[in-house]
Amino acid sequence: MSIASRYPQPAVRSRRGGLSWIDRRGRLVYGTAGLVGFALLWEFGSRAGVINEFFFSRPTAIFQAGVNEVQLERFWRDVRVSLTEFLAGYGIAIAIGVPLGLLTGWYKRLNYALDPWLNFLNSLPRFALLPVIFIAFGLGIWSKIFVAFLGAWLAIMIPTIQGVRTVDRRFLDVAASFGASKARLFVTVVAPATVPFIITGLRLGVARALIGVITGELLAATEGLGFFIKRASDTLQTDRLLFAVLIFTFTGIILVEALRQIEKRFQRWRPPVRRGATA
Amino acid sequence: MTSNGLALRATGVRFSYVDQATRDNLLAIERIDLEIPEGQFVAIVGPSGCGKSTFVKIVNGLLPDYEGEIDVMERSGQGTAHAMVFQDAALFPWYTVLNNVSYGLRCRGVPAKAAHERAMPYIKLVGLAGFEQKYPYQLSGGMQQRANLARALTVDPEILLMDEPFAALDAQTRELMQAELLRIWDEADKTVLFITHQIDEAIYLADRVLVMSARPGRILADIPVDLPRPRELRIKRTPEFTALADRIWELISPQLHDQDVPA
Amino acid sequence: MTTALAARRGHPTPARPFFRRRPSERLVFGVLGFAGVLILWEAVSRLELVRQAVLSRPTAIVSAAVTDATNGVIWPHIAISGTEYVLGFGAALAVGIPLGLAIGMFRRLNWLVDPWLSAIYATPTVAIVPLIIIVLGIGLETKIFVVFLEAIFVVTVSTMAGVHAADAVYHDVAESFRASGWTRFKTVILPASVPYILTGARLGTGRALVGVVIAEFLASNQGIGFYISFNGALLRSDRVYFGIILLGVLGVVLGEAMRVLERRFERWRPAIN
Repeated sequence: MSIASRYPQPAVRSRRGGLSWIDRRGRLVYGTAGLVGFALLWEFGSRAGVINEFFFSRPTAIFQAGVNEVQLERFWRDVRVSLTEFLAGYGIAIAIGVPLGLLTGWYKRLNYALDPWLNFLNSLPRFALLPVIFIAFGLGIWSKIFVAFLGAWLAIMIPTIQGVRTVDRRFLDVAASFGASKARLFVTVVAPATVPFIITGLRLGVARALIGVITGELLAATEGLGFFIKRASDTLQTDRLLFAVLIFTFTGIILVEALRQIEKRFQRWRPPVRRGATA
Repeated sequence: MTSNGLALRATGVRFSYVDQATRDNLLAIERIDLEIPEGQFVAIVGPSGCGKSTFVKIVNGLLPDYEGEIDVMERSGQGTAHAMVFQDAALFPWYTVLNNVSYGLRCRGVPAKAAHERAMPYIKLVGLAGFEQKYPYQLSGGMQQRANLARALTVDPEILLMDEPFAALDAQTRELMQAELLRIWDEADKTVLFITHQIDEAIYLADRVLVMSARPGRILADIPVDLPRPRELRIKRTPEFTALADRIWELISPQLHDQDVPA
Repeated sequence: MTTALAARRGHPTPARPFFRRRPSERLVFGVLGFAGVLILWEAVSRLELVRQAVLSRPTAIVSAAVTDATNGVIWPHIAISGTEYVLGFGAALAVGIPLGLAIGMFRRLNWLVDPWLSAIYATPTVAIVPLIIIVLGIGLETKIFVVFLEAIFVVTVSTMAGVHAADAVYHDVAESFRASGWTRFKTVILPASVPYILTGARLGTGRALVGVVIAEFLASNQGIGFYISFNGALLRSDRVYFGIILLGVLGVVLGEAMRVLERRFERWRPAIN
C-alpha cells in the first residue's frame, strides 16, 4: 500500500503515465509563474537599463524580430535548408543505426570486433571531425547532412545494441523450448524487447542531429538557421539571434516530447521500474 | 501517558488518506481500540491491505494525520518509547552493519564512537558478532533481519513495533528467526506489537492475537494464546495450536472472498 | 535489495586456473576489429581510393604526431584546452551538484525549474555560443563558460534523479528514529545520490570535451580544437586526425577514470553489470 509520501520524489506517475493532480497543478502554476516572471523581469529590467539591451535584447524586441522575419522569403529558405539537412541526416542515421545495432547486438563476435571503435567514437567529441568533413563534402548541405548523421548515428545504435543484448535469457529459453526458429525468435522476442530501446535512441538522436546541423551551419555555410544565427551575431543583432535560438528550442521540445510519448506507448506493457533498484 | 502497567493504549484510531492519482478519499482504518500491558507480545493478523501495517506506522509516528488517540507509556530511563523493525529489513545499503545498527543512537546525537560501543551488545544479542563491518548486500535475508532487529533494540525502546519482518524470508529461515525472536524477546524484556499475515507465526510468537477485517480495517477478535512458554517449534503440531489456528482462519477466510479467491 | 540478492546469486564466475585460460573471444575479436580497420584505412589511402586530404592514413598520422610532439607545437594547445576543461568542468560540478540536490529535495523548486530544464535540454548549446562571444568576447572566459554550459545540464539532472532514487522506506527509517533534517540529508539523500552524481559527472566529462572543441572552433586561436581547425584549413589532414585522436583518447581516459571512481564509491552496491 502506498500512502502519499512526504519525501522527495519524482512526479508520481500512474501506470498510464499520468501525473498526480498535485503535481499537475504545481507544475502548471509554478512553471507558468516562473516563465512569465522571468520574461517580465527581462523586459522591464531591459527597459529600466538594469540589463544591457545591446547584449541581451528583450522579449518584445525578440518577438518583433520574429514577426519581421517570418514575412521574409530569405528566412523560410534558411528554415527549409536546415530542415532538409536535419531530416536527411537523421533519416540516414536511423536507416544505418538501427539495422547495424540489431546485428551487432545479435552477433556477439561482431560486437566484440566493433566495440573498441564504437567506444572510441562515442568518447570522441565528434564535431572535431568537421574540418575533414568540410574537405570531403564541401560547404553545401551534404556536409551538414553528414554531421547530423554523425551526431545521431551512435546515439541510436548504442541503445539498440544494448536492447538486443539485454533481452532476458529466460524468454529466449522459453521460445527455444517451443522449438521457435531463429527468425521467429527474432520477431517474437528480440524485436519487441528492443523496440523501447530503439525509441530511446531515436529520442537521444533527435537532439544530436539538431546540434549537428547547427554546428555545421555555424562553422561553414551560406544558408540555414545556423548561418542565420551567425549573420545576426556578426551584425550584433541579438534580437534576431535569440529568435533563431528559440526556434531550435521549440523544435527540440516538440520533437523530444513527441518521441517521449511514443516511448511511453511502447513501454506500457512493462511493469513500472522499482525505484531505488536502479542499475 | 498511561498508568496501571499499560505500554500502549489506542482509542478510536481512524485513518483515511487521499489517493494521489485519483484524488479519492480512501478509508484505511475504520476504528481500532487497543490496550497492551507492559511486556506482552501482541500479534495482529489480517488479510493484505487491511491496514495493519498502517496502524504500526501510525503508532510509530510515521503517519501523523490520524484521528483518535494513542498513548504510549513514557519511560524514566534512557530509552525511547518505541522503535520499528521494518518490513524487508530496510537497512541502508550504503552503511555497514555497525553503522546501520547504531543509526538510531546517531540520530539522537550520540557521538559515533559511543554509539558503536552501545550497539555492539545488541549485535551480539542477535547473533551477528563478527559481521559488524559487512554491508547489507553481503548478508543473507535472515541476517539482514537480525540487523534490522538490532537496530531497533539499540535505542532501548519500551515497545518494539514489528511490521511483517519475516515476510520475505523462505520458510526454514522464517521458522529459525521466529525461534530467535522469542529468545531475544525473553532476554531483552520488551513489549512487542507484531504485524503478520501468517496465522501460525502469530500464534507461535504471541500472548494474544488480534484479528483484523479487510479494509477498512477494524479488530474482529481478540484471542488469547494460552500455550505454555518457553515454546519450541514442535508446539505448532499440537492439537491446541491447530485448534487456535482453525479458529483464526474461520475469522479471516470470509474476509478474503472479495479479494483473492475467484468468485 | 532484491536486485542485490538476485545479482549475487546470478552468474557465478567459473573458477578457472589463470594460466590455462585461453585469450577470451572478446579480446581476440576486439584486437582483430581494431587492427582490421587500421589496415583497411592504410590500404584505402595507399591505393588512393580516397583523397589524402580527407582520409590521411595511420602511418602519416603517427609521423605527424611524432613531429608535433618533439618540436613542441602540440603542448601549448594541450595546456590551454586542459585549463579550459578543468575550470569549466569544475565550475559545472560546483554549481550543478548543489543545484541538483536542491531541485531534487524541494518539490516547489522542481515545479519552478521544470520548464527551464526542458528548454535547456532542447536548446543546442552551440546555438548560443555566438551570443556568449558577443557578451564575453573571444578569450578564455568564453571558452570556460561554454564548457561549463555543456557539462552542467547532465550533472544537475543526474543529481536530481539521485535524490529521487532514495527509496521512500529509507526516509521512513530516518523518520522513525526522528532524524533531523540535516541527518536525513547526510544519511539518506546524499548516499543515495552519490552513484547518480558520479554518473552525471562521467557523462559530464564527455560533454565538457564537446564544449572545449566547439568553443575553440568558434572562438579561439589556441587549444586542440584550434589546432584541428587550423590544420583543416591548410588541408593537413594528418594533423587534423592527430588532434581528433588526442581528443578521443582524452575522452576514453577521462570516461574510464570516472568509471573507476564510480566503482570505488559504490562498495556497498554489488556489481550489477
